[in-house]
Amino acid sequence: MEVDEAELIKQSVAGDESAYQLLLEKHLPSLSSYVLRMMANTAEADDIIQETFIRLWTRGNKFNPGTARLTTWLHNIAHNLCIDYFRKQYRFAGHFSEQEVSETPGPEENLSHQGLVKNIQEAMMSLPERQRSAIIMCHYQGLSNRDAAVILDVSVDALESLMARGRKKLRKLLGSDNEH
Amino acid sequence: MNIDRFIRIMEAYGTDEDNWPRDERLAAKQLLQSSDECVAILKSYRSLDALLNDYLPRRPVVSTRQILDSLPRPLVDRIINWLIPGPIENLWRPLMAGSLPLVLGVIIGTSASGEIFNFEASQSAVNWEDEIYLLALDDSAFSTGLDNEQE
Repeated sequence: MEVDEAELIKQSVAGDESAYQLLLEKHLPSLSSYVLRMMANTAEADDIIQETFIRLWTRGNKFNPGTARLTTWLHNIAHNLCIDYFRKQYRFAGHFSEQEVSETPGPEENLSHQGLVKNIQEAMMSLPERQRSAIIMCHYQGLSNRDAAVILDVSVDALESLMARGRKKLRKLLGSDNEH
Repeated sequence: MNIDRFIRIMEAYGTDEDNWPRDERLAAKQLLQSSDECVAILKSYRSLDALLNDYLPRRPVVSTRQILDSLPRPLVDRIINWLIPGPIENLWRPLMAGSLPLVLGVIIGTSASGEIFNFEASQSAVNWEDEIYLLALDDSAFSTGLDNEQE
């Protein structure tokens, strides 16, 4: 029988580590996927994933199950931590350094595929953060347009504009600009 | 749903119908089934989605255990973790936590007993002083007796 997530959050806030662990195991894969794509698989992504879940432990009492799903709330925290990180990067380096994009060469037979993945990763990283985040949330994370709009603090129409502009740029960068 | 809105959905959400807005999904699918133009539009947008689907994230380095270990905990828990590190901590944690009042009671009790013991010791020291004083008196009486015999 699946335990009610709201009940698990209550127990977790009260300090029940086993309840917290159940929440962690449920949401870690999805959150990791979001942060790693937002951060181009860099090492800092792991720090942000960890910090997101520490906040679930320390500030879980601020989550209101009546107004949002836990996954939306966690994505919101992770998104803000990513944005904070990028802002610091801009402040100190002027722009997101291309050297920070993870380069993990795979086996020789996968080189062409790795190259393709690297191209997509670089194209994604060239998008403004909000466009990138909007595309990742709606294309990969399975979040609804309303949830994504709440996280980005925009209307659904504005969210669609962000995604349309982002996708247009990706098509141009990746050479798949043969659309209608 | 009309073709303009369908194109807008392709531009923003892509060709995977699972990603389309929930409240417009059915209407968009119905339009797609009835319109060859929509089918052509959908095909023309498909290549980007195929590319995006190839972008998989690496496995995260951070694990469930690492996150659990990094959680801020109360001072008592940290002391227990420091005293008994390793996996057995979970087994002994309730026992240690339960025995803490007992340990504190023993410490307080022992220190209270120590004071009584010291008090007794000091009393016996006073008694010894009396004993020595009395012995000294006896000794002088004894030596006085000897002197008398010599005389």
